[in-house]
Amino acid sequence: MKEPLKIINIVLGVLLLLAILPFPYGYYTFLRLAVFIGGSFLAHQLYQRESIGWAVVLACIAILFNPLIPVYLSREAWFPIDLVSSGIFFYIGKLSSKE
Amino acid sequence: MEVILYITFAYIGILFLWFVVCLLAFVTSVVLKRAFLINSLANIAGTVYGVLQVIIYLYLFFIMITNGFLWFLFMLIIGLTLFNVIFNLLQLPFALIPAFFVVKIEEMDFDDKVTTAEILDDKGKVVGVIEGDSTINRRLAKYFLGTYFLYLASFIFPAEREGLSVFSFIIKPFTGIVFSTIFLGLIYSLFRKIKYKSFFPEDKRIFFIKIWKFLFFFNLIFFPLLFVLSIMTNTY
Repeated sequence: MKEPLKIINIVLGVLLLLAILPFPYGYYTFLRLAVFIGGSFLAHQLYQRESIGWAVVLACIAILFNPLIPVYLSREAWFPIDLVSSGIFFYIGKLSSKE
Repeated sequence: MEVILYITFAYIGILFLWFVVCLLAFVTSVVLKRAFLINSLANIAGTVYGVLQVIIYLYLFFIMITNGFLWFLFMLIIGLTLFNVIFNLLQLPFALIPAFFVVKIEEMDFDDKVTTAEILDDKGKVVGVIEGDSTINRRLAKYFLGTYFLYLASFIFPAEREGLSVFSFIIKPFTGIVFSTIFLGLIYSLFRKIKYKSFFPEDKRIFFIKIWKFLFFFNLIFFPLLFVLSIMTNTY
């Protein structure tokens, strides 16, 4: 179970890192969906393992990217959010491979 | 099944209460010629609607994360959207009611050029008076509000307020006006049919002004009389 979680973390990290580049609007819509589904799944898994702190962080990221009640921010505002979120996903991926 | 029925009744009750509150704000706005009252209420309702939407969404998300995997899948695929839509639909009337009154007040012109005009016959004698649109609206609102507060004043009698909740204090005067209006309206429209050959006057507002004016003055005399009588007979 650890491997798929690590893969999801890395994939989401890469997707968020790519978002810094100027892609068509469709990419960002896809990114919202991917980060929301992936982030909430990871948050669920971490909550089940009683890693509440990281579960809350991932839940916050998932909510920020959620497509149902979208949070509208400027491109400049999304830039640091994408970077930090990407870093968090990479870090959690690294942590889960260590366990 | 019983629970659903209770929830439905509670929902309709709260909706009705909200309608009365908005109606009172609207009527007061018309009397005071200030739209800000109902506009403020609509803005507050809009803000609460938005905040509640976010809170409900966060709560649904919390449920999704903290329960089993099957529950997570269900919420992710359909539950989150479905429950969100259901809660939004349930909330929507609370935002639409004040919005409806805001539209109504925007249609009103508070600054009529002509408030009243006299109709003269060939000899210059006054045979009638025509009132401006805003004057009629204000009179209608004034009598409604006056009658409402007189009904509210009837709670001074302990027998009237026995077993009533806070919400009933808002709703009961309104239902009192509605039933009295229906009763008096029936009598008055029949009287009009016999005398003027039509149930209602051309402007329906005049019809309601007459009824509420009667109700207002009747209650103005009746309630204090009843109050004095109840003190005299030690039934207060």
